[in-house]
Amino acid sequence: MGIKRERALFMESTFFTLQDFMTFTKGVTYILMVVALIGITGFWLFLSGRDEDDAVDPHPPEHHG
Amino acid sequence: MSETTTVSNKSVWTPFNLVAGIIVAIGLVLTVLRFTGGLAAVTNLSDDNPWGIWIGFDLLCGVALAAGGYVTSAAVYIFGLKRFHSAVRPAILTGFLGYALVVFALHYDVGRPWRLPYPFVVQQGTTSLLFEVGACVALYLTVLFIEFTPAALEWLGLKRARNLVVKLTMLLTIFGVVLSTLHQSSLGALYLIAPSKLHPLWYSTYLPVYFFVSSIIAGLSMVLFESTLSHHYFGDKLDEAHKRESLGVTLGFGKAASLVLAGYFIIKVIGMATANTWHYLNSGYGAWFLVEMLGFVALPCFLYAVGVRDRNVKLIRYTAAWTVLGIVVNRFNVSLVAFNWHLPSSQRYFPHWMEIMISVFIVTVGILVFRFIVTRMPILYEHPEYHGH
Repeated sequence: MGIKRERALFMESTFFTLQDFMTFTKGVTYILMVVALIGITGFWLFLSGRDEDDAVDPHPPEHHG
Repeated sequence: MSETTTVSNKSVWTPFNLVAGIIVAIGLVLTVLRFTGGLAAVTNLSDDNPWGIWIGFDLLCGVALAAGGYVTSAAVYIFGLKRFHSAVRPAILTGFLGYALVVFALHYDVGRPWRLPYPFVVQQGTTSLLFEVGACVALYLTVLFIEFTPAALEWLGLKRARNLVVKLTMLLTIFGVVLSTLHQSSLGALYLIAPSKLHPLWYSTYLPVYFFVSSIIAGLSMVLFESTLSHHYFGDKLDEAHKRESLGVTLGFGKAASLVLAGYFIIKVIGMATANTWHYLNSGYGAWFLVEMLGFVALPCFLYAVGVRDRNVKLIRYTAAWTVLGIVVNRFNVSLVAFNWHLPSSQRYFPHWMEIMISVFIVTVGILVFRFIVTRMPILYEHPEYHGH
């Protein structure tokens, strides 16, 4: 069972040419980069979401009446 | 007069002083053993495992955790974030003592410590990473010493010398950032030579980048951690400006640490993708790697963010301590745990108790010197004669 699992894991990462390896890893990296860029934008919004609440409003709304 | 004497007598025999005194006494005995009996007398180091905890902890962690100096001075003087000004002196002092202790510890670790200056004089060439690390650490220690001197000069009342050094602030800050960028990354680059020894989950061609980025996290967290301890133990030394700016420093540094941690997490995952090391996650080392990545990177990143959003100073301070521990875990993993990972445990290095004790002794010396300086010099408060200068 253990040997089979190891073989399966080994086979998963077996590449016969550098071209295969680069195509696979670059493909995964590009997908992850898209996810990361969207993710970090969302994270920044989460991180600084309440900044505006704390800041002093330079143009407070005018009170009428 | 008699009252003063009574107070000072009371303050000497505190539990902290007693424990520190015992550690220093043991450390001095071990120091004699080390320098009379050689490395073999006090360490488990060998030709197979020449780098132990004196490199993994004292040097790698010491340098990373001393990064607060360049991070804070760059934020204040280069990026103009003057609202963090009160954090500069404590950060510079922590950085200076950190680097001084690294060099102090190297005297124990290097077989022939009197040859430490050799790279500058007698050497085979300047292409070695160790030369670069040695040169940068020596130069940066000098820079940190000069950056620290205004506080000492104010304490000594040497006004003209102090004003002269203050004029060099921007130059020293730029030097500090350049030198730190160089050697923080080079410490990671040292391990590039051992791809067959370091576990693939920790080995990466991006190691220099990882070490540099994580040093920023270490610096920010260490400033927060040190500030927490200073507030607790030296609260009476803090002036109004430091107390007033404290919340802003905690929130600002917490926010920066959270964002850099997020970036660090991303580049670590990208590193795994480019090396295609996913399958190693399904192993014991993989589980430990996940503990490091999720427990000491992703978790503090999230906790810092929640702390900043909720303006929860306590949470940010606890997270800073956790992150400092995470940096120690990371450096230990690279230099010890995941190093020589394929060897049977009988051939693996485990530190001798005397090695651990000497590291504890060195940290204790650092804490004692920090206390000596903070209780005497204007580190946590502005000297009244130089207010606003």
